Amino acid sequence: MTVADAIKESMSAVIDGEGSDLDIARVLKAVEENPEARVHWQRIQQARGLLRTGQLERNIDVSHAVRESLKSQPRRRQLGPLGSLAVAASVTFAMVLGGQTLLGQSPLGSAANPIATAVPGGVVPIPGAAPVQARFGAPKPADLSRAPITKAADSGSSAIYDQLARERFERYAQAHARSTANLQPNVVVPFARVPENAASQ
Amino acid sequence: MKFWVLALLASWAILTTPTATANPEPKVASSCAMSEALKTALDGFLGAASSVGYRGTMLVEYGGDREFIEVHVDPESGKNGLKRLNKSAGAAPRGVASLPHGRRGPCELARYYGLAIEPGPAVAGRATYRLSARPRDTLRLAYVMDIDAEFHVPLRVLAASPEGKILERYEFANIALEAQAAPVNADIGGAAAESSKYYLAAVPPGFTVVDQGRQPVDFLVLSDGLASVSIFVENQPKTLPSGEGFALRGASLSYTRGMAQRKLVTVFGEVPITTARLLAEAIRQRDETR
Repeated sequence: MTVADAIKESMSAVIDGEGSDLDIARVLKAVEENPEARVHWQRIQQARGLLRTGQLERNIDVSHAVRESLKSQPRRRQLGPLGSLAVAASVTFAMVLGGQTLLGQSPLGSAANPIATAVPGGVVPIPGAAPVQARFGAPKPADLSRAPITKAADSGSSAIYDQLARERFERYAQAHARSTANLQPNVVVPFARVPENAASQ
Repeated sequence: MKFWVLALLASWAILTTPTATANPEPKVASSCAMSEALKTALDGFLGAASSVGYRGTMLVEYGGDREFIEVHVDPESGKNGLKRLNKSAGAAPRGVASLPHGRRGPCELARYYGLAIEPGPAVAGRATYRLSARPRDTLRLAYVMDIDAEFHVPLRVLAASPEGKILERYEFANIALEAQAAPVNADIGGAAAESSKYYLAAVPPGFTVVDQGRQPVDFLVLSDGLASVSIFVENQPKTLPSGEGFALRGASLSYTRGMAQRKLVTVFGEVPITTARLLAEAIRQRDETR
C-alpha cells in the first residue's frame, strides 16, 4: 500500500498549519489505515522539526532514510512534483544528518545530555522523556537526574513558544489532572506530575 | 466537474470522521477476539479504579528525576491524597479530587492497543500479572503494567513513546489494599457544565470528548481509555507571531501553538507530539450567532 500524493499533500498542508477539515480527515484516516502513511507522517514531522530547530525530534534511523530515498530513485519518473520534493527532502535530510556525523556530532546529541539535544524546543527544567529502551529494570541513564539541562538552540518565535508551553504546563497541569485522573492507570499519579509550585496555586 | 468531485470528497470526510459535536461517543464494541484470561484481567483493571482503596508509598521517575510519594486512594468517599516525601520534612498530605468518568471496555481498548498478558514479577511483596498495551498507531503512548493479581491495581507502570523510549515509570514500594463498594456515580460520563466555544473538526481515532467547559478558559478533554489529553484555548496577544513550542515532564506534554485565527491553543496530556499537533490543528470555533 503506497501513500497517495493527495494524502501527502494533505499532510504537508496540516503540518504547515494550512490544512482544511478535509485535509485533517484524510490524514487521520490514512494514518489509521495505512502503515506507510504513518511512517510518512512521522518522517515529514521529523523533517519539519529538523528544519525548524536544526535538531532531531525523535530517534531516526538514518540508514533507513537513505535506503528509502535510494529505493525511490529508479521510480523517479513515476513520481509527481510532490514525490520529487519528498525524495529531495529525504536526501537533504540524510545529508544533514550525515554531515553532523562526519563533523563528529551525534545526530541524537551527546551521551551526556541526550534530552537537551535530541528534543527540539525548550526542555522543562525537570528531566523527562529520557530516550532509553523501554523495559523494566533498565539501568538509569548516566546521571541524567542531576545533569544540567541546557536549552536546545532556538530563536525567535520558537523560543517564545517554548517559554509559553512551559508556563502553560504549570498553569494547566492541575486542571488536566483533575479532569483525567480517573481515566489514567493510577488516579494519584496525574497529580504527582503537577509541579509543586503549580499544585499550590 | 471538479466541484462535484470536491463535494463528494467532503461528504465522504464528514461521514467517515467522527466529530466532537456530532458523535461524542463511538459505538461500543461488545465482543472481540480476546482470550478469556486477558478479558478477565482487563475487566479487573478497568474496574479497580472505582472499587479498590489503597494506601502506600510509591517511587515515581520522570526520565532521570525521581521522587517518593505517599498516596492514599478511597474511591468510596472520593478522598484521595498524596504527600511528596522528598520535598520537605513533615509536609502535610495534599488532597486531590478528580472528576468521575466512565471507563472504556476491553474491546474498545483492543482496537487501538495491542494487548497482551503474561505472568509478572513480585512488586511491593505482591503477586502480579503483566499487562502490555502497545499502540497500533503513532498517536498514543505504550504502557507496560504489573498489576496486582488479587485487586487488579497497577503496582508498577511504565509509559513509553511509540518508538519505545521510556518517558515515565512508577512503582509501589509498599501498599495495603481493600475492596470497596463502587460509588454510585462511578460510571457517569463527562461532567460538563457548559459547552466550550470550540470543537474539533476531526478527532484522532479512538479518542472521544469526555469533558468540556469555559472555565478558567475554554477547554476540551479527550480520552481513548488509557491516554488522556486536554485542549485549552486562549486569545492570542496581537504582538505574538504564529508558532509552536512544547515542554515535557515524564509522560506529560504541553504543546502550545499560536493559530492564524489569533488563538493560542495548548494541548496538554499523555500523548505524543504528533497527536498534539493534530488536535491543535483541528480546533474550530463554533458559530454562536446562529
